[in-house]
Amino acid sequence: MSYRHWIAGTAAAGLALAAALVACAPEEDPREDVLAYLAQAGASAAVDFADEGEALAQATVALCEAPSDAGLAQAQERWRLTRTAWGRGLVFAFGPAMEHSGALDYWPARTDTIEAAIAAAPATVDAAHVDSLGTSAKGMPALEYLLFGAGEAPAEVVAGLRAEDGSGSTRCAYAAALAGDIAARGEAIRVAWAEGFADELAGAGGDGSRYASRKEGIDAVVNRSIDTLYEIVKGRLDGPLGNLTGAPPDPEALESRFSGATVADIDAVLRGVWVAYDGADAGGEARGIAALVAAADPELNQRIYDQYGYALEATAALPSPAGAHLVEQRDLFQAARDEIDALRRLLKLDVAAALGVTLALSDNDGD
Amino acid sequence: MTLAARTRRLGAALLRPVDAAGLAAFRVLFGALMLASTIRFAANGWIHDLYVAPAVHFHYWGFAWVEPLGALGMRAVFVALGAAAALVALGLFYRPAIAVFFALFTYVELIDKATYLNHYYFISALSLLMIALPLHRGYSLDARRRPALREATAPAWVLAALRLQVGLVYFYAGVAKLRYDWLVEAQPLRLWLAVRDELPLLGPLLRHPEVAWAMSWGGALFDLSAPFLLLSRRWRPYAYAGVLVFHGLTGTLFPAIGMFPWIMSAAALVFFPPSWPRRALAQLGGRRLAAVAEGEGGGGAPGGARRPPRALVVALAVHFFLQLGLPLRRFAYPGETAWTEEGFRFAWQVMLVEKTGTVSFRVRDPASGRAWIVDAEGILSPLQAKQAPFQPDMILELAHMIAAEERRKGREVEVRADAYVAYNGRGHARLVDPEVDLARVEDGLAPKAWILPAPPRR
Repeated sequence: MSYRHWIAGTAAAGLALAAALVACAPEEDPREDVLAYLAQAGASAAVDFADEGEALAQATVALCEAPSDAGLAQAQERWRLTRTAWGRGLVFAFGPAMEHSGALDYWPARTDTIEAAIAAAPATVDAAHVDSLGTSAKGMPALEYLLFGAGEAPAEVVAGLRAEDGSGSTRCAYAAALAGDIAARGEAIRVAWAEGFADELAGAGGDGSRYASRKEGIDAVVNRSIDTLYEIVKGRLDGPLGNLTGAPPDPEALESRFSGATVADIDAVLRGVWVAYDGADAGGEARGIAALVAAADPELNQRIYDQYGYALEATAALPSPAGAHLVEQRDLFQAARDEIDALRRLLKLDVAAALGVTLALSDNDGD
Repeated sequence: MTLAARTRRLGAALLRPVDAAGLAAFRVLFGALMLASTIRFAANGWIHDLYVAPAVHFHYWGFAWVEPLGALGMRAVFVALGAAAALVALGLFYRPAIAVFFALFTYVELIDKATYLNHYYFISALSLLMIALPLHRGYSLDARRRPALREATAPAWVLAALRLQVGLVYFYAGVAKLRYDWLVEAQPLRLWLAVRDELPLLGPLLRHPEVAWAMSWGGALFDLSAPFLLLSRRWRPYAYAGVLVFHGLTGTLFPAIGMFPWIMSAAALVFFPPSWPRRALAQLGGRRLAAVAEGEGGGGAPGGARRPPRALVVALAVHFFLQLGLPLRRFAYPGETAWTEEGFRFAWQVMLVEKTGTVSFRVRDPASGRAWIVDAEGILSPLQAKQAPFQPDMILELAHMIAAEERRKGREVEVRADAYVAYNGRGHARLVDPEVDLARVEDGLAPKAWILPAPPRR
């Protein structure tokens, strides 16, 4: 046999093998189910936040109609629930929530800016006025300040809302307008998910989706998960712990410090990340990113489950309210920070590699 | 045959005249591709992104003095690069043009090692070599301008030098693939191919892990054998078809490799008989085009048989000594060099690693006892932030930058790094010793004892 025959034979055999492999390739792509689940989970988180935002708006209006300790307690409770819903949905804040996140969650709250905005507010604080405000004067942190006060007892907060010189009604109208803005933005996010974005995510790679491939859809969720954990570590913990400056711990830098919900916030955000990663019903199989990681690298998947457990445990060990304990029990906060950071590293380095999220060639291979 | 006789025979073979057409085609293709590459670089906004926008730059050891020229200056550099590339292609003022091209291209590459690419290094090495080669004596405006320059042939050593330069890339790229991760684990191709499964036609094939193994072994064998097969008259057409398929496939699967497939596909033409352009033109354009080609290249005196000046011989010997030796230096370093990156650059370690990293620095002021974290990724450009966390020498330079910044504020600080890297599918691990004060560590070429061993395979 001449070498030409040999080459032709080898090429033909190679093509036949390739055709056979293509024919034998699994037709079902597990990413389809995962994307469908993530779309449903994201839409569901948006519904929760919109519902809680609406309830918060109603409670704040009710409080303003007749300021009372009970009304304040009701509004405060609604604020906490809204905050928790927001925290749990943060992992999905890569879609329609992006354009609202600044207006909803500017932090740390600047009390002087908020007070100045109230002092300059018109008698009727409407949506248009809230729209015109800078992000530091509105959103959940600003409303938290108005509902919880900066160290005041509830009775003092109510007294402020009742003040008869006109400042009480303006303050209350301002709070109600902020709550209304939160509700409106929550509704806008819910509608955006329900009327297109969820379908785009579920149908990533298909016609009409902003995601050119299923991989891009998965990438968006994994990257957002990593960013969400980074925000906890850097924003919510490193700053108050003084890790970024070497200064002593600063309770005033804590998120949700007026309500004392700092730890609950961290817990909600962490659980939200887990909704995207695991998403299993009680006792059921994972439906989120874990389903893909388990198929690619079961050992890695187990490490992530273990690390999530450590992070949750360390968060549960944090004393609340954080502001009262941060200085004396700094080590506990540092430990929680380190465990959450370890979870972030697993997602950023190992999961990203296993799923090809950041996979490109090493940049010294091409241009 | 004695050694002396062999040497004489080799010398005679190297002085033998060969058709200058192939060399001219090489010059034209090189210049045209470099012009296209320069335009593409500017059009993508990379002059600004890589050389103007970054607040800091990572320097090669010994080249800390190389700095960018600012927005206007860098644009001017790229305009000059494009002009020089065009002049090389046209063969107009060839020697100064290729010298300017080499100097500017290498200057740009030396500004920031975060931008290191194997094929950029190849272009630097090749353009340096081309300064010494008379590639403008046929099919060039120089030859038209100065008929005395025109030669129909060139000495064979010119062709041999180009073939050696191109062949070394393939061969050493093949040698670099002879490692456990590549051959046994099929990494990083297993990771890379699995995520390309949505490609039309090819995609379903890539879901089979066996394809990654086949491509790993095929890639290694291809790289190792390509220069030899391309030299063989019998195997050359098949080998070149392999070159086109190989580079076409890598270009399709990994679009990020940009111009590399084009450059290597063009460069491999140097292995064809030196008169290949005449034959190609005759086949493509008939007798008329062939006659034009004949007129452009012919008419001059034969260029062979002239001995090159001794200084040139020495320069070429030094050049190829470095080209042969630099890729081997990785064997002088302990540990897995794909992990430590020691001896990794300038060594044709192509497509060998998938790495993702993260790094932060713990800074401590011994005078006050204050300690804080610097998340250096915040001050880096996206490319630098991606590259620095897994390259120890870049981590060291970042630590020095932090220490220098504190020194400006009157503080002598300790700087320790928390660098974690995921590498070729292994679980992530620390890259550098977190206890070592990097502010006190000098950079150099000696093995870096503060780099931790690669994580175990799973």
